Amino acid sequence: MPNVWKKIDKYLAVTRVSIKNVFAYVREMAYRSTFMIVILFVFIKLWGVAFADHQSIAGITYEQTLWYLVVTEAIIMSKISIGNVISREVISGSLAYTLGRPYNYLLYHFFNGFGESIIRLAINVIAGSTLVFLFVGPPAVELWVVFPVMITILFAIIIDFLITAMISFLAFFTEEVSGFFFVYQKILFILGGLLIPIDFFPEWLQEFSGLLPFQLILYAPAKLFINFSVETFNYIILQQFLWMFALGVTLGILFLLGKRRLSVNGG
Amino acid sequence: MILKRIKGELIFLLSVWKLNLSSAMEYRASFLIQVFMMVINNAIYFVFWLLFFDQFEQVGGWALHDMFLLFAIVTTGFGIAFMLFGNGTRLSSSIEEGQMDYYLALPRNVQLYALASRSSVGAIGDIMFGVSMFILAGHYTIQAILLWMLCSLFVASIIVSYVSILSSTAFWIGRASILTEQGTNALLTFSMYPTKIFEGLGYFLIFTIIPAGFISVVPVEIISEINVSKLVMLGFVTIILLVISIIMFNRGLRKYESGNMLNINL
Repeated sequence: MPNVWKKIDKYLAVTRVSIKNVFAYVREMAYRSTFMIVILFVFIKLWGVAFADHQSIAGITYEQTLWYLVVTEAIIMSKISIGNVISREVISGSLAYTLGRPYNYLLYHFFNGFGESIIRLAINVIAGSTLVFLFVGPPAVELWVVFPVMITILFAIIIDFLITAMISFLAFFTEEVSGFFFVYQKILFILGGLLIPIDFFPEWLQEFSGLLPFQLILYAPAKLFINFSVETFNYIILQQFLWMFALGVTLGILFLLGKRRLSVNGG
Repeated sequence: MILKRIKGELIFLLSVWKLNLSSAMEYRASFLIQVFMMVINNAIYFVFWLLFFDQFEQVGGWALHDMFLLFAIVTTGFGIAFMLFGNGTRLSSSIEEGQMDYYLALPRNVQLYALASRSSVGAIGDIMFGVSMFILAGHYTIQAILLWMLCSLFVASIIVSYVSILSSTAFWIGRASILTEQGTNALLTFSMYPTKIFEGLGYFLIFTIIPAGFISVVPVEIISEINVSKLVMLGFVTIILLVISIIMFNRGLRKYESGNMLNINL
């Protein structure tokens, strides 16, 4: 048991170092959150006009839509941005050296990126919430709801990390993966529910989105926040666990197959 | 004398653009993938509007066909701007890091050379997408086509001038990369939505410090109403921004400090 704690502590130390590094650039990160304010300002205006003749759409009010968008935008801007690092290591072959170090390669990258991710999430949530609060007031939710929502956001970040790592490992086979990252990012825009709640989609598209893991990254936590119920929370957590398992197994297989193809570009 | 100088600068620019294009085309597959990905990027983004207008027939008096026209102008304008002057997005970091020596070494217009020294390959995808949006917008008269082309050139000039103005602040404040990045993002974001949704502060912003209104609602009205007086106004605004960008860059260049980089672009 002490061994397990030692291991956990090792990775938590990686996160602590990562957070310390981030604090060196925290002002720069805060400046970058201005985009969060710009996009939410545009959404406040757009949905304000769109909801002018509607009390609610698909059971969601104007205020709920805006708080939904605070959550989706905050998550997308706080994702662990590790894809390029991993794919570069695969392409250059420097992964061979990294693999020899006394840590699990993927866990290291997750905990390293996670430190930066939570700081960015906090900054973006504060920036977005302040703006939306000024325009439409507080969200109609009880404070404790934030905690279960945070759990779904944590799992959302893990699912996104697993998909990003899978795309990075495609570099073992294709060498060039930037196009795949690009398409994944755009899929999140629509099928993830970033720009518009999935409830506003035509029924066939809602059903299609429900079959995929992307809605669990953005839509599910945001919808849970504006319309919390214990049943929905349990259902989301179950779905997130199933997808984490499926994606984790696929990632493991991809990593094993890829390692055999690893070629070191010496020098 | 002046005409000769302008001709010289244009010939130089043409050869820079030719070089940029041939170096991008060297990796043919990567070139095609980047162009294709930009088209996909814009198309997926447009899906948002298809879904949006599926719920609401119009917003602030704008319907889906107005969005086709808006995207035709904005993406073509951004495409032309960054295909020809793609280094605009890196200009502020070049100034910050004292890497302008590259451009000072040649007896050419420093601002033009610095902006044109790189072409964005994805911008070609923007132009392709803009053309297809214009076809879908359904304005098939000669006047509308000519106005669209002219407006796209004005829009491109406004974008390049705006990026250059933001980047030039680096001569005074040092680190201006974030300002340029956020300012350009804001310009793009505000211009991709129906401008009629803004009122008060929002409306003031998009016609002053973030001139998104001039690259979105104004050209849309010029083409859909065949409005020549607005076209003249847009031309006037374009010239003003161009002049401000030239004055700011040249004033700032006097304050430039080299980073002592020994490389020179040949």
